[in-house]
Amino acid sequence: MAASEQIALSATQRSGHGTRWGEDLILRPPPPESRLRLDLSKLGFVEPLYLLRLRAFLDWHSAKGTEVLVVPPRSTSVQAYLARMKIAEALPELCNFELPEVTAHDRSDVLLELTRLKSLIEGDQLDDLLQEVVGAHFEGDSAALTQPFLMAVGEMADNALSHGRGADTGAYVAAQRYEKKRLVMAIGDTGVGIPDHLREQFPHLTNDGEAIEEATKEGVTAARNENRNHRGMGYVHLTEAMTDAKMSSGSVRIWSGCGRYQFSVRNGQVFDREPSVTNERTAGTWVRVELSV
Amino acid sequence: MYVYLADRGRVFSMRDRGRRLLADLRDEIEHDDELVLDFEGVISLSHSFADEFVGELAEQAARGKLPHPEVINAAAPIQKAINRSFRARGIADTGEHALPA
Repeated sequence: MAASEQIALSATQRSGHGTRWGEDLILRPPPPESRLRLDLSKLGFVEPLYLLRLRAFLDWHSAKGTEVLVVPPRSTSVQAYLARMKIAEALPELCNFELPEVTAHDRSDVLLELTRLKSLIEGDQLDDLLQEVVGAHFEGDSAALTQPFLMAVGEMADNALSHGRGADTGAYVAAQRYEKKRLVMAIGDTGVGIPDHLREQFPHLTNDGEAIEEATKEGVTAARNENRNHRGMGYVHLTEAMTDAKMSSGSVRIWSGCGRYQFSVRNGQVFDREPSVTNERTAGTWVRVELSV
Repeated sequence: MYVYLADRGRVFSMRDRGRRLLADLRDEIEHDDELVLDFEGVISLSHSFADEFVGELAEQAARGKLPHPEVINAAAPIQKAINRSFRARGIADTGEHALPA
């Protein structure tokens, strides 16, 4: 492909940190016949949400026919993390992303490597992976996190796969454990997104952040289904699993369209519900869940 | 008919998996007068799966199309997911973990 323009994007040292949303990884078509250069050299830390957004960025732009060149991170710890989470496996042809050889692969903290779901059968395979994860990691104090972890991944992956499998990239899942008692997972897709999906039935929900908040309430999206068959309850069940669990704290952050929504759970109670709107619109829906004992 | 869910896995997340499981078992279930769903060994059941499999079974039983599923050996979170599906479909809760009225 003849490239008439190279568009440069750069990650900062903190781009991959848990407080960020991966905004620099823009899922929006560049001008025709341009190519993208993503500079990760300054990236100092990567969490599951950024990992998913990064891989979705590569897959999404490649599917649109855009060449993507990635400058790898200079930090060896970030390189090692990306390698053990399998970011560069089965990359599309239009993507050039070479990670240096990493010899030390401590995988004890990996719950779920970056997993891409493009079919419903792959959803079944995710269940098999989750079964192994629970068997290997959730014992002792961590046992309290089993149900909210499985509920979070299961319900959110079901949503993501349902909405994302018709998109160019499908759905993505990854999970990581920190210091044995805290885990972070991320689930995302590049499908229709919550606000646009809800507005099919509720056109008055013009604020994307408030639309996401509505989606977390019981019965909102279920109402659109003529068979009233209990759809649209994923976020409700996730919240319930977190409040039921004997864990010390948790949080959920959701980004879809121009909307963001987050809340915390402490000692069985939900706090700090916060819908907001951002100038940066994303394709699909991206969810980060953190659980601690 | 006796269905031991753990023969098919210990984690059930996807709504579509519940739909396919019901489709796979339907012919056998239809030709039996009783149906027992044994959840021993099952670690987790999403509400989506519970609704598409157990909830749908129970609703069809309420219409007289299939035998009513008797749920046994379900851990509390699993029974709760099942009961929530029953409640949403207007079917009576079952088991010791029935949702409050």
